Amino acid sequence: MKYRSNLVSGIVSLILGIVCILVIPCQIGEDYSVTYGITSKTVPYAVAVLWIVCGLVLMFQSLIMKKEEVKVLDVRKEVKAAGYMAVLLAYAILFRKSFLLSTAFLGVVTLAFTGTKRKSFYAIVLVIVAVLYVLFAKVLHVQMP
Amino acid sequence: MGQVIAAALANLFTVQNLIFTNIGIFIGIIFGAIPGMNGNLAITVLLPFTFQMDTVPALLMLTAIFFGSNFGGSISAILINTPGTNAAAATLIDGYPMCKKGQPQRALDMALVASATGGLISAFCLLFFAPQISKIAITFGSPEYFALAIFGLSVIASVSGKSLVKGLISGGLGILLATAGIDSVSGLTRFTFGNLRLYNGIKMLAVLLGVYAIAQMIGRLNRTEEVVVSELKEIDKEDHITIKDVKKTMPTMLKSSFIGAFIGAIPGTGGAIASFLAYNEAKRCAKPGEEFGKGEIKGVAAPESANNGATAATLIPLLTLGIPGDVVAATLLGAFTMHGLVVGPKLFSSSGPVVYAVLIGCVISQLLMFFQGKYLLKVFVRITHIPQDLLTAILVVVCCAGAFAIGSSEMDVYVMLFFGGVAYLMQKVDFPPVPIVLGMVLGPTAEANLRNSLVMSGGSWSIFVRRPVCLAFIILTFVLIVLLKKGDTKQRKATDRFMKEEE
Amino acid sequence: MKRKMLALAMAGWMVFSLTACGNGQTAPATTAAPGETATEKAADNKDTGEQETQTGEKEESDTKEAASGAVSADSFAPAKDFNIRVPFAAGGSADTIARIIGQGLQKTYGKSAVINNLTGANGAIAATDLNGAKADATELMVGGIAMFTLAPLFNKDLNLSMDDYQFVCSLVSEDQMLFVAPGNSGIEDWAGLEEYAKNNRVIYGANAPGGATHMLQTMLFGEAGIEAEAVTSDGSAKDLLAVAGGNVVCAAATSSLGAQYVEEGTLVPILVFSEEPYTGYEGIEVPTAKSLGYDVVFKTCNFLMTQKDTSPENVAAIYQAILDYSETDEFRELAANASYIPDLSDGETVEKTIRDAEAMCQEAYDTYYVK
Repeated sequence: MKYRSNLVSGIVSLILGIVCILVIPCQIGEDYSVTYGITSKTVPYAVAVLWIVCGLVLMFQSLIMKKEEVKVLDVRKEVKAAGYMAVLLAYAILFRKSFLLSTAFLGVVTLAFTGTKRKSFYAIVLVIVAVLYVLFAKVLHVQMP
Repeated sequence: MGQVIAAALANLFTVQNLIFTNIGIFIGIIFGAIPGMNGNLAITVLLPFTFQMDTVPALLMLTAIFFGSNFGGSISAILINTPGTNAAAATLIDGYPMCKKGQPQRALDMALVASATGGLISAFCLLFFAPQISKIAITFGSPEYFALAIFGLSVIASVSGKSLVKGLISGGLGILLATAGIDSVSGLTRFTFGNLRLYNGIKMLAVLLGVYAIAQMIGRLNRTEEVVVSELKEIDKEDHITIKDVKKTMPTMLKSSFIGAFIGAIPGTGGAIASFLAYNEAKRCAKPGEEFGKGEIKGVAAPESANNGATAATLIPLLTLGIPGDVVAATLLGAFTMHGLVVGPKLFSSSGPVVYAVLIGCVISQLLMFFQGKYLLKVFVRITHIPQDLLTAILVVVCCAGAFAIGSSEMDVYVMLFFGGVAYLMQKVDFPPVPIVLGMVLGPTAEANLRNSLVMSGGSWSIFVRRPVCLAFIILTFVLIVLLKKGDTKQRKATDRFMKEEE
Repeated sequence: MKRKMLALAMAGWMVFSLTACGNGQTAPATTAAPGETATEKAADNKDTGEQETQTGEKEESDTKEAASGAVSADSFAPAKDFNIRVPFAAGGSADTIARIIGQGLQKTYGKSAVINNLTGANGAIAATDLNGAKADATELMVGGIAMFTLAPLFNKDLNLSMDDYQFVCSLVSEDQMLFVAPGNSGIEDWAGLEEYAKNNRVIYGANAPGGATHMLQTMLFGEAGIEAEAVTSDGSAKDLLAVAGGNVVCAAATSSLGAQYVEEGTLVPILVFSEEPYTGYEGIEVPTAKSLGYDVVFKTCNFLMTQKDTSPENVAAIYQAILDYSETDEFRELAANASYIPDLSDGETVEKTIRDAEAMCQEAYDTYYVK
């Protein structure tokens, strides 16, 4: 699948800018003291405007000036990436429960994703997770979930 | 004065001090090199143990950790394209490409030489000019900080790669991310979405780990990221630093070290800013044939001497004014107070022998770091020989643990994973990651100080041109942007010519 | 030679990791070590030490009475290590104090005391963590007065209630005072500041709205009818530097932070936000804001707290342990080094202090912050 890099990033930037403008009023309150024109919202708004402007510039470059880079997306590979991101999400949810188990799970799944069959690799990763856990929890006294 | 120094030297040269300084350097390098762990964590963890130690060895060990970790951060930046500390973010721009070209050892050696040079210069500045430098630092008010931050942000122009527009979008993302949490000027919460954990803001190190490490790992897993390291099975005999390299980079290193020492001495700045400014400066002065961003050795020398140049200098405002320059310095402040050193204007007269022992110790630490580094790097470079599949899994696991350790908070892990995904997608459309770092480091400084400056002036923008230091920075910013633009075109032309001649 | 050095470092690392692992057992044993240097330091700090006992005497005798007849320290036998949450960054004064107290608990009970820096959300993150732990006297937290008073007013998401906690004792309480730099502004006392304010806007250094120094100065200038605005920073030390550097006219900070500047002569304290005039600086009596006609009284206070359901006997035992430890030479030395002037009042006093401050903060918020 082919896609145009500048056009896509332009559209994304434009959308992000608009979303940002919509989110700001409900996420930032009114200042308590005098502000001289620059409030707590000014910089976030400025970034949102910057995104919109940059988005438009990129779209202009792509559509009018034909300055564009066409890239190829290997869908099969990207499905794999999406799959891995799902694993990361699952990990994030499991992390709260137990560092040791969730991280061991992540390590093993990551190895499985690489397609390696060497059992020693799996063992090494599991040992490293255990070592990390002991190092943090017992030596560095970091409270682990 | 002479007596104080004599007493200091007697305090300093003991076997105990030598051992603890070495331990400090070693721990520092290791913690700096592991993604997510940093010098601050190491110092915090060791703080309780120093209670039971004598003052001089305790402080030597802790400052040594600080120096070591700053150098250690470059190791992972060069070898696995993940900055071990914030300050190493500029090192990977050229460090990782060098590693890709099959010169990991040369890049690491360069980083070590540059770090030691920067560290030495910084330590000498601390030893000899601390009171003078602090007098300059004291005059820095909000307008100056604002101008400095804008100056720093202008570096985005030189690290954006192919498209400046995309660089600006990335930079904006960094600035926006840094606004999350309690605003330091108004006390209001921004983008916290009702989550207590976000009150603290989004931690830069967590974002860095995501943007570099996790995004890269996703890319490696589906083989869209080029496989680099496993190809370097054989140790290349040619892969080391030469005298010629050192000679060539010496002017860059010296200049960068002084940039680092200057920036470091200003409270609230630190190594990350220093290293980007130095990188920018080195790039501006590039000679024909030097391709920054593609594995130019000066691109490693500049940021590394600058971020280590900032280390000892960070202690200047800490010791003379009692103001910690950055997070690590704040932790060190605790260590100093614990050992009865009351930092501030009277420190040097009240605890002379101890302070001078520590300061001279800082100089020696840099030398020890160099010798330890020489051996440790030989071990570290073997990371490149670990099979690709295994390395990927190990790094993911280490990053997750490291991210959690930043502040004992799951939020940091979530932030890391989230931005890993985001950065992976950003790569697909060529958004450069470096401006995110710049935006995150400098955005808050620029914003808070702009607002405070306007309070100082009663809303008048003329405050920025009425103060000399501030005006100087603003002019410098414009001049450098213009020069950089010119230099870029000139350099491109010169490189073209150079290439033709080569043919 | 070089290889030897590496080996040395390696050996050192291993030794270190061993000590680290055996933290609980080894630490108390080694604490007794500081022989010569300890006495030297104690001698160095003799002056400050004496000052301390003078100022601390009254409170100490009060607290001793309160605790006498109560449980002794040994009546509590901790089953696990102490976990002391500190909602401030490592290295700060509250953190340092927590570490000293932790050292004491460690020595008394033979269990290690882990200091856990959980910063953010004005202490709410650490408090949430405390709530999640089991109700036990080993699960502790160092709190600050702002977390129950100012934080809930300024951030509606933070609704910590004092009723959910039990207060072990206070650790430190300090006076806040207002500093000016005569060398920069020509202002030497409150009258001078009022005079200055007639023709100028007063720019003061403070933390962001929601912080104590911001509130105190807002109230003071509000009551005095002076037009003033804040330049914010993330720490009072930086505010004082801004005063010294001439970037702001005045700033509020604790007495200890200002000490060196005052001694040096750069800064002058012009009023103190307390009931009594401050006499801690040599040759200077700092008048209270009250005596100048402004009813603004506030003390920063850090205290040790635990969950509501923790057995009160155990809490009392820990309090006694801290009191006992505060009598030791080791404590005196550590405290003197860190210029820590302990104020170990009991839990009830802490609770009362917070309640008083709560009322004042509410008033300040309603008058000056809500629009």
